[in-house]
Amino acid sequence: MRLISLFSLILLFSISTLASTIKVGKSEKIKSITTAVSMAKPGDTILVLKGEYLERDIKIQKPLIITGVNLPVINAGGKGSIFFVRSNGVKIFGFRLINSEVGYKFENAAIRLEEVSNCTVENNDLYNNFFGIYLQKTTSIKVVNNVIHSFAKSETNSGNGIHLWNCDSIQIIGNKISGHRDGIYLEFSKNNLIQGNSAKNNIRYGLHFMFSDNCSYFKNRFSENGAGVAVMYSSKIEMVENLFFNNKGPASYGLLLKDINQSHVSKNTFSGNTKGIYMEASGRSLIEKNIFVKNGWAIDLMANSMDNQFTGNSFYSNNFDVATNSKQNFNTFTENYWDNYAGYDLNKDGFGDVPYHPVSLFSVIVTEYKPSLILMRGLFTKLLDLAERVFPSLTPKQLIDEKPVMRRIV
Amino acid sequence: MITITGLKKTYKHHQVLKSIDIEIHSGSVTAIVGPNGSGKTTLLKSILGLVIPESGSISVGGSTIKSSDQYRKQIGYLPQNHGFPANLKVKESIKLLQDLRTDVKDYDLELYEAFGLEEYKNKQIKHLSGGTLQKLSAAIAFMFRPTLLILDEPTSSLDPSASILLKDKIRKVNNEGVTVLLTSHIMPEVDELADEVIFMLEGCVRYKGSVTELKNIQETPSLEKAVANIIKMEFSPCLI
Amino acid sequence: MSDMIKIFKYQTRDVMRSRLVIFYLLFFSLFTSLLFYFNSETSGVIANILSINVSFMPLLTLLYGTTFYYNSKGYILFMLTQPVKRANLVTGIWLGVALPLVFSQLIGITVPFLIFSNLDVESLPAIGALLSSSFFITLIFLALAFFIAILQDDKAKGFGLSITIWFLLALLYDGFILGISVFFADYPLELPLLIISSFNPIDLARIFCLIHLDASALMGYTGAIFQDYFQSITGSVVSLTALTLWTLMPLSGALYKFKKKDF
Repeated sequence: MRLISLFSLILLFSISTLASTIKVGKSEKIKSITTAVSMAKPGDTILVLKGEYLERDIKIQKPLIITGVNLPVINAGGKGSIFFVRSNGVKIFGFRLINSEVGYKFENAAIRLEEVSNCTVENNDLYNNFFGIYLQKTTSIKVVNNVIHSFAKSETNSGNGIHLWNCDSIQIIGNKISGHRDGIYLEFSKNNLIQGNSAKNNIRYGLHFMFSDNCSYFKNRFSENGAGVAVMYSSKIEMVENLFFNNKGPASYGLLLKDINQSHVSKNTFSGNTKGIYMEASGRSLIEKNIFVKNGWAIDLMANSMDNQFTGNSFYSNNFDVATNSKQNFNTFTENYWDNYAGYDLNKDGFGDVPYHPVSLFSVIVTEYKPSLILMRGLFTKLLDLAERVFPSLTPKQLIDEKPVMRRIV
Repeated sequence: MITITGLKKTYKHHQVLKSIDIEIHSGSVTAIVGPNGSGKTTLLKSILGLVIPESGSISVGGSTIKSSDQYRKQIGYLPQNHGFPANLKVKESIKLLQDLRTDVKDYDLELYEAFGLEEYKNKQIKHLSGGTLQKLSAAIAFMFRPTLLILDEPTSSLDPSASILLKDKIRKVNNEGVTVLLTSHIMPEVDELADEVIFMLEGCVRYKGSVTELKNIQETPSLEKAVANIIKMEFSPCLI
Repeated sequence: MSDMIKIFKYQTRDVMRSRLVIFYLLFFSLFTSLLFYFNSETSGVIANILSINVSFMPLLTLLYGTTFYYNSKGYILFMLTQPVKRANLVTGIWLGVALPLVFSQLIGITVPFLIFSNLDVESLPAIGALLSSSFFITLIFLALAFFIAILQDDKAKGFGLSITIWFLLALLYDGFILGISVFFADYPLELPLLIISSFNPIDLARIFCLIHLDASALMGYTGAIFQDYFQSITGSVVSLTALTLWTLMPLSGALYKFKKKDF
């Protein structure tokens, strides 16, 4: 008897200290993930075998590693959420999570993390959910290589692919998000890294910052969204080497900067957007070494933006280079390449000898009288622009590139 | 062959033809003479259908010209200025007309050969001299075996030997029964070719009759002098 | 084979050897290749060729057409003495001049596209629209040129009239449209302006092509309206019909005057 009690004591000890693995499967002893989660000890690994599990609102309150083997499916059946993480150190890998509830009262998500840190969500396939991954008051979370797809029809009854609220130090890397309201949404979140993601066909923005400072996004691709990226009321945002592609529509743009300060937009490509960058009330930012090609307007610069510097950018095949709503300008353009530049370089220093006026008269006219767009590329507007370049009167005199580059910067 | 009655034509308030009545008999050679601006070109153009008459009627070979353009099949026309697209070759220009005139199969190439046009057949029209072009036009006028030849200043830019060839050809086809209507400034040539003469002045026919008769009336063997005499005579407007 | 087709056939052969055809061929192939060299974007290349098509091409076609007619007076006169209907003669010559010009433009433009652009399916409608704008601009302005030359025997006056008409259609008309969009800025003008533009073949060809260029999709709300209109089947049918009507109008004017003309 003593022996038995000693043995069980050892057993108990070993369970509580050494992590064990629990298997869940149709032909295993444990058939439900919820059951496995409730019986698991902190630090345990749960292996979920292939199959479809009709489960929802799986609340995880201890650090667990939950791994899908051969992409098991968890189907919420249109009710509630799927995983609800309330503990630090949880890792969720390799699931296909479908059909969480579309609702207006509660923001249901395939995976929801609340007030936790050091969690990882990786290699999951999220399909037809309201929100994809929802992070609330979390820190140091990794969201990596997930595919998140849904069928948003309108902004009001759809959720975001990856949603951050009040978070810090989140890494969002290599995800593919489509068919949501915003691909990735950040509100009151700081120090986040967003890298190598693709946001496509989301009905509002590919990526959306609100009041989120000190974030960086690199090497992402934003295509065919309602608008590419909206950065609002934030400062110190690093935006580098992203592709903004084919974000077009009546009120669309590749990148919207609204009330943004001390930010850095560098080496991005803006191609085929209605407006490459739309900039409003933003300042002290550096926009450099970007490529603007085949956009309706490469840059639409509202006059309440100031002290921004545009340098080393290449502008070609855009319908309009720069539009603005004022004759005043408090920003600097220098050493950019403009394919519409018709000047010369006599001293062969690589820079044009006469300044370039990126705001054409026709651009001013179209801004003021929109239907006159019908005259685009006609001989008349060409001559108007030419006349304006010789005798500027309606276009902003200070908005010039003093040193336009002669050859395209690659 | 040609019957013209009451033909009038006015260009912009200027009456160019003032009621012309003419009968041209089959087998005759008729020359229309008169100074520039007398209306002879307009008369020819009316017959060809180039000018639309204001009033009056014209019939050629029994059919009135208003009814259809098919009456032109009877006509071989030699214009003063050539009429071929500049970049076509000689043989293509001829082929174009041959394609259009499917009614004739047996072409009269006598003049074409006599003028030695065969050696130019691969040349483009724009590379031909004025004389060669005139030869080509002349050869084409005869090519479709017309029953009526209308020749506008036929020898004007031809060299003497070509001129002789053309005149011989005119006489030859006339002997075969072809009616010839021509204009010319050169009175000896008219004398040489024509048996009838129509003298026009200021839109009127001032004289119409045989060449011999005209010479007899004016009592001179020279047609040139006879015509000069008519011009000197003071006529009341448009009366013969 | 009708007389018209025979006349057309030989006229084609004549014009194919003319300098303008060779010039078009060289100009468009060089110009297009250069555009590809400086600007690898297919849409940018198309837009630049379009600019030529709607600015200098109409003028060049008008001047060439009137000159051609004046220089061909001897030919026309002689052909009129042949058993040929007047309408067949003019139509045959018109087509015989227009199609070689169109042909040399199409070849001049298309060959560099085949060489330099990776012809993706997306840009095919735009290339098609560009080529049809070339086609219609040439046909329309050649018919206008013949109409002018038939109306006006005096060369200098004919050229004057050509330049005036070009100036009206290529420039003044757009100024007029701009005036409307400024003075009636408070009204929804998109549809009225589309209708007004249809009365000018240059604008019509330009807009038809621009819409297929995808450029308008990039032009916000107004662009979207224009694009919705033109890219709909109805819009395309309406604009192609309007362009055809624009071809037939000066042609029938020319035919009408030609039939009644003294030569």
